[in-house]
Amino acid sequence: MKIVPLVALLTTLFFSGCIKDVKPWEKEILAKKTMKESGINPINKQFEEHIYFSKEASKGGGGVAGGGCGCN
Amino acid sequence: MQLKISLAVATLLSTMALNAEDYVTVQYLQYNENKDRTDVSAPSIMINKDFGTDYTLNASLVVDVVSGASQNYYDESYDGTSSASSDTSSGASAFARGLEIKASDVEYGNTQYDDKRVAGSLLLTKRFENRDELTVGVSRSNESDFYSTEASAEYMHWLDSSKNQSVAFGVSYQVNQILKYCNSVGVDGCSGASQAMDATAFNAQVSFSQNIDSSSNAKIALFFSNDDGYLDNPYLNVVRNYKADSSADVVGENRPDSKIAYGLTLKYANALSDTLTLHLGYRYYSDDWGIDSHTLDTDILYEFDDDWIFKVGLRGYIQTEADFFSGYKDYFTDEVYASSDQRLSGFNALTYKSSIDYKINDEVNINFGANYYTQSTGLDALYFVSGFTYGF
Amino acid sequence: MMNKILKITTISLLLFSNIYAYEKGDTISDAIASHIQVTQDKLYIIDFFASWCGSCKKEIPLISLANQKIDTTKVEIIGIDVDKKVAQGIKFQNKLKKDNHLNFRVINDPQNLVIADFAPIGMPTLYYIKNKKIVKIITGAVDNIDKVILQDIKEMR
Repeated sequence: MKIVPLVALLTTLFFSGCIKDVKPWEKEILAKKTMKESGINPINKQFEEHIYFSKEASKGGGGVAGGGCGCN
Repeated sequence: MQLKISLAVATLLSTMALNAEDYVTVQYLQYNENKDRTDVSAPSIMINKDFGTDYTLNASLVVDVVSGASQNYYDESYDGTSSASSDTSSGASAFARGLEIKASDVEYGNTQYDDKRVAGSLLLTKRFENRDELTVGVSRSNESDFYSTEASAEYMHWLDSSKNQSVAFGVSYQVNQILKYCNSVGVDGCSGASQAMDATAFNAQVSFSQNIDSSSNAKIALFFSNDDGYLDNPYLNVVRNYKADSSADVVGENRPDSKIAYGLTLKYANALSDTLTLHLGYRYYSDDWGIDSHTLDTDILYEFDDDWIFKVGLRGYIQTEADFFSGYKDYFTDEVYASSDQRLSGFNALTYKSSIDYKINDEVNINFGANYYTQSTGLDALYFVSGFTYGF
Repeated sequence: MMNKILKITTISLLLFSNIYAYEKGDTISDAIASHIQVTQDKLYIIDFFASWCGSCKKEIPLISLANQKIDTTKVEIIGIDVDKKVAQGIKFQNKLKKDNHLNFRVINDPQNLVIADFAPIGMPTLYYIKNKKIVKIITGAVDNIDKVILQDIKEMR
């Protein structure tokens, strides 16, 4: 459990020193589909997550919606 | 149920909301495991549509057709008098349980199954004047032995006027019904009829996202889940009271009726150049069944000629085993909780990922992906995804 | 070419004299007014957009719809395309024109000098300018923006 607050603190400290105020007109790259968290195709990312969910014991961290499956 | 790679319909709240655009995508997944285990064919469709500037609706549907076999302990002498499906090659059945059977009749091998699953979901996003977003969703999944209904909600709030920082909080609640078939009369308290068992799952997540500069962003999330009710896999057996060359009981597994889990994810994306983008992700997971896991995920995307996107990726995973897991048939006697499900064992896994996306014109993209998943348990799987997306 | 360099240099220098975003009631600089040609005695509606801005893409056809109904001797809509790659911006504009979704004058701002001077807090943003004075700002995507523009013009007469 101790690892969680430590990683969170380190991450915050790391990023707080590097952060720039990105102006709205400077967001072209951030708006690209290659920058999307879910990947280019959201369904495929979720196919993957459910393969892992049905073959591994861990879940969570990718958002709350997703639906149920008899995968346990 | 446990043997299947049932794939729920998926829509990621954060992605759909912040990148609203109109499209329909049709995808097909083909998944095949080694050693004649699980095969899945899963066509799916998703539609994303904006209504004005303040509303977006996302609807999706997936149909999984599952067939194959999965490894399980069973009584080789089981005479198959139940109505359960059986593997004609080995005579084994997922319901081949018995008390005080010959220890030498206890086998571990493939048990067959077939199933179809249909799942659908709807997500509606509302944007407010300050461009905060509220997304609510419902989903429903039906299989022959499993029914699930889920409701979810997530609120995203911009922390600064330039919209470089946001915080989001989401919750979901799932109600599941599992049909426990009892074909081995007298074993596990079965009366010969199937029994509907209930379970619920509550999930919560809070996340913080930050644009670091004009070409990179990061996200940190904390998540929590609480599962309650019938959490066993009704098809999986364990061996109890094993006495070498004497007797053994092959009975259904028994997991705790509650699981509490929490974890942390870190995500980072950086456009290294005009054509190269790097994604890094890490997840730490821990639950009160004794399972801890670490996941590290890397993707590199390369854009070529404005129309092509190539992706390669590597995912590494490691988990510890559950407190009540044992892969040895002579392990369980007095233990209350017992499972031999490999999914709860300690193992590591690697996924090698690749995909191609091609823009045919301003409206249509086609995609193809090939991936290889391998576990230290001996499970290997190849899965392919292909489809097209039409933007309108 | 020389004129262009001089213009860019002048605007760049004048930028240092304005380190704040324009707000309602502010007067824009003469250099900017001259550069985007808002010097006549009419109401100007400036629309900052880019090809990569999803909300901008949805708004431009509606703004063009409003443009069909206004008296262009009294009101002029001007688009400022802030795509850094000019070719990308022009391709985007041409596609909109081909679909009859863009019918107003567009100025390309690939060095982002004009938008940096206005410094809107979001995109798209509309600035209503009369006699070089900013009389209204609409930031972000707005439903039925064509009707909003027409109503605003009516009220500002």
